[in-house]
Amino acid sequence: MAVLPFTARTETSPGPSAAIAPAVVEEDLIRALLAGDTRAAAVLYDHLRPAIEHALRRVLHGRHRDFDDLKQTTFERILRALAEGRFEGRSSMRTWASAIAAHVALDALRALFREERRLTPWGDEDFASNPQRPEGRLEALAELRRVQRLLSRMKPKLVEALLLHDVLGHPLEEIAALSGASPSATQSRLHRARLELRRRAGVQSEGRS
Amino acid sequence: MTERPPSHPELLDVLRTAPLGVPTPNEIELERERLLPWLTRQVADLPAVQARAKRQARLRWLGGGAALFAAAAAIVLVVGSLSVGSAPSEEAAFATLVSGSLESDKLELLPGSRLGLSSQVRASDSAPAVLTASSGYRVELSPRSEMEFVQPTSTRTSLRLLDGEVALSVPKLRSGQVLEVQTMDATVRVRGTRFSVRFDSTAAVARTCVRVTEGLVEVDRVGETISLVPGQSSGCETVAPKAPAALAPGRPRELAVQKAAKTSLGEENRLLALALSHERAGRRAEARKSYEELQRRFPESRFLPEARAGLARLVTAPQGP
Repeated sequence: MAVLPFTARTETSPGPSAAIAPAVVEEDLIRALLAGDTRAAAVLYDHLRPAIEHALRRVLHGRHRDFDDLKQTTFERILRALAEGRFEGRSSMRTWASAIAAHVALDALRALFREERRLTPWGDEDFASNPQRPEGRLEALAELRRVQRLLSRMKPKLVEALLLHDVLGHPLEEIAALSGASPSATQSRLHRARLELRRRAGVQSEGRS
Repeated sequence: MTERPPSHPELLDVLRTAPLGVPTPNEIELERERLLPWLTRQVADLPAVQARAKRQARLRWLGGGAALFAAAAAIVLVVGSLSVGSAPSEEAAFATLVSGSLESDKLELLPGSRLGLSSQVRASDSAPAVLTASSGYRVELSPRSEMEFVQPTSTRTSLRLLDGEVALSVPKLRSGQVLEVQTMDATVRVRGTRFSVRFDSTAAVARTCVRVTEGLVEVDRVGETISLVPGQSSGCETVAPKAPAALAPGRPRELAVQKAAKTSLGEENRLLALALSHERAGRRAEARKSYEELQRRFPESRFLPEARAGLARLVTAPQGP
């Protein structure tokens, strides 16, 4: 019996361990969405919101000044990709949504760094509200911005692998399925991404010293 | 053993472990309330977006090809269209109108016209339209009924019935092949049979009526799948819709969603989607009627701004041909 998605509200554990929610049959959800069934909107939102928020928060850290808009942008890209048939079901929708959210977050970072708004108040409240090690807050914030800047300058494919695996914790096999590459090719890409990050960090360190 | 890629914890740890603000349940709910109406509208528009994307993809494909290839394709198309009895390609033509007349994108189609995928068509007010699909099945679309052909997959062919009634005669399908009719509240799957599907988009409660003449038909509604044999029907009785399937305990959101569906939200959604669909198809009078019905019946509706905006568009937009 086909299980239609309209009664599902999956719970909100944001981590990658909750990657597949059994309550939602994603194939049915996609079919309902493509049929324009408006009831599927709430199911889509509840199914993907935790993964999207987790990815946006992990990459951006804290409440980006346009955080809510970025979430909306992510959903917009997801729907557009579905309409254009770009989700092939090789990974779970949540992993796919994480990747899209990570791209949206990186785009936002690139835009911010292009505007040269260094250490503007966005995202700082998480550090400011952290009672531990107040003396290290500025240092940690500066380090965070440095890493974000490095990532925002890397090639999208490399940084995607790095974020999904090393930051968001998705397994290599799922990232491979998402990109349509073999696990060994994905591991190689991850390897290159780490080297690239280290190289850029080294170059920057030398440049700053 | 493969070499482990060099990790860079001192760099990425700051992203992995730095404190994250956690939204309160109240914030989550507020954000949901804010985004959901927008998302609902996007979903209502998704079939149109999909159709546009397909058209653009086709145009890109045509525009991006080499001149020689384009010329060859043109020759193939011309030869194909002149070949008597040859089956049209799925991309070029998915079905042929045999009798009656259809309206598509404000154009009247007469017998002999070929329809492409994603064509949204409406039968005339006076007579049913009969089509034969390139894959062999026959479709009879009742007067004033609306439907569209959906992009098929390797195993599935789909029609989407937007309003009215459609009767199908389906030859025996190959093993693993499925033909289905989708409506807003049900999917009807067949393997080789004769049956009809009726869907009244203007009824107070969306309900799809399925009648089977021959063969075996599977009807998939929210939460249940039933099989019908010849002579049987489903959803044609004029009683209130069946209660949804029993819920597992401890799922308040599920209860809330179902309650919303049973109360006005689902109906408000339906009216808005219907109005948008009419508006997109250029049926201004019907669109206006649906917007006004939404305003009249649900004066507290969260979709009132959209209804007002839609009416304003209808008033200000230039009249079509």
